[in-house]
Amino acid sequence: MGSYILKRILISIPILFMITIIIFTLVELAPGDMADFFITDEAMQNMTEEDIFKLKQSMGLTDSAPIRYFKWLGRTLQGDLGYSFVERESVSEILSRRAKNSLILMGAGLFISIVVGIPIGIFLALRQYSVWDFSLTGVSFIALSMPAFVAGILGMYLFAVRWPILPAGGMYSPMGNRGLGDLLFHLLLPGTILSMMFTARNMRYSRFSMLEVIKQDYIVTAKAKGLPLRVITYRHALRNALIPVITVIGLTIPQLVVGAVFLETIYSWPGMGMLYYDAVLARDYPIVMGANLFVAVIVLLGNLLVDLVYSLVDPRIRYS
Amino acid sequence: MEHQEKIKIESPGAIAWKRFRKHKLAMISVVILGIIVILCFGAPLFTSHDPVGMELANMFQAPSRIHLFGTDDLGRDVLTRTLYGGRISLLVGLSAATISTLIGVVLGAFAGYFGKVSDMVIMRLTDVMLTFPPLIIMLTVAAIVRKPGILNVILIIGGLRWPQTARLVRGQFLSLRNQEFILAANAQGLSDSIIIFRHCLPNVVAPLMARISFAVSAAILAEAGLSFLGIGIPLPTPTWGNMMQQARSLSVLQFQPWIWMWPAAFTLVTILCINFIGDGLRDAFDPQQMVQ
Repeated sequence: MGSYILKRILISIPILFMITIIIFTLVELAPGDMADFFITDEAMQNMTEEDIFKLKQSMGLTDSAPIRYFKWLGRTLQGDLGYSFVERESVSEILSRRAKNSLILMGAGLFISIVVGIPIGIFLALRQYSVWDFSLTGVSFIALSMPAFVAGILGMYLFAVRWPILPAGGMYSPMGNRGLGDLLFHLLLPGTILSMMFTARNMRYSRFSMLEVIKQDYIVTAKAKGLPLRVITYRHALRNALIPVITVIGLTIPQLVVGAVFLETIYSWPGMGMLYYDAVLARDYPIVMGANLFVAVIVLLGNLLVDLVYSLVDPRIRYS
Repeated sequence: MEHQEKIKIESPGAIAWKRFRKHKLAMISVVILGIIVILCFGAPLFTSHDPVGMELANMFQAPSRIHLFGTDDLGRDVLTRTLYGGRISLLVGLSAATISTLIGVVLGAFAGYFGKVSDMVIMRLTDVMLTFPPLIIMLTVAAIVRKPGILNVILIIGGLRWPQTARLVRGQFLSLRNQEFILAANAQGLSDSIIIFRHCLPNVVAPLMARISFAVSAAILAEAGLSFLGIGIPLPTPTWGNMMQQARSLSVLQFQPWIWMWPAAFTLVTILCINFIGDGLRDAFDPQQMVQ
């Protein structure tokens, strides 16, 4: 187990390395460089070619691309992601502040999708072909095809505008006490909408997986032994049915990030998604690079976590 | 004794079509999607308004007999814009999916057939691409390209959404490579290109069909998402995504729901139909994978 974890982490390192190369190359391909941001048209009139060269030299922009890459990589490894052009603050500080808010939203989405989706899926599997089964499976199809921004707008229209029972945006009320209750109240709408697609998917997979498991021989054996149905369902079937669902949950992490970008911009939730979107519009490259890297690390960590959970819950899996 | 009746031999395509026809939701989806396509591409037949020209005297009109879906902030007919926008959205979806499928098939076939170093390199690249959430990298590229437009959006979506297809095709090629008929073709000294195109690729078509339809819906969604965020296809060209962008203004959201509701409904129905068709295709070509 220990060696497996180590190996799994080691595999992630070259991927992360390639990701840094891609991020650096993308920003390198962008027209203009970091100096352009500081040389405004006004400043241009008072600057000679030499001044500009000196400025570029002081920023390290006169080095060749590979050298700048390794310098950037070195600084990044030390946790220094540079300074935002727009906010004049260190990128790592901005990121850590904003990421906290995003993790609250994404965590809520993931949490709802698990605690709502899986029990419903199991419930439906035990009542296959019932009215519940047909209607909820139908609803899940719609939820799976509903893009996050359509769901976001629709949810806002219905529950914040038409029947204003929930706040239309932000994390806290302007006059509020910024307490947990206020946060949850603001989280309810974007969190539920973010979770919708994943709730539907968890539901479908746990239903399918449960249907597969209750056909297995060991369940028939348990029934033949005369075990009560409740024990068979929850002690024997459920555990095995949940194993494939873990993989599906792992796959949701990148999509959760994408959903968060839309919902944060729609509900003005001050998280990473909105930060990233604003940075892309303003071409604030240090933030774009930092946020990309951050997202990649989250996805890799998520995959790692899923693999570990997988090997813990399913002792049949042996890794060589 | 002679058999009078000929035994009817059905081609795999005919069998798949028979199974597909039994998938009711998929068949209904084909019909609805067909109607949407006819409405969008035959738009001039159904509406006489101009999708782009402004009529400021008519702005923000509620749905009426002249403007069935109402008018938007510049007095343009929403029905007309929805239909013309559908052309762009569907066209972008189809062409981007074609590009991503081509890239995915070529890379996947190469990796799966030749293996070794090429497999290693291509699959690591795929892993890396899959680590970026698709929209995130599209946003970055779109911001860098700086010139939004239909062609660029197609290239960005098509150029970045191939990894899943590549993985699928590679897996198929890996399993095909060791099957007897491929070994026989190899032993006969057929060239790699003939083996790949004539013997391997036809066997990949079935599992690829469902993947392609999901690629189309993903590409339509990606265009809508990018345009919704104002980074895709710029106004005044209508697309479903940039029409929905107007809902980000709270007053439009609240008082002129007809402006954003129709493109949203068309997007949702189109995606739903394509996904159902994808399900139908998967069940038709690959009954083993059928989800009950």
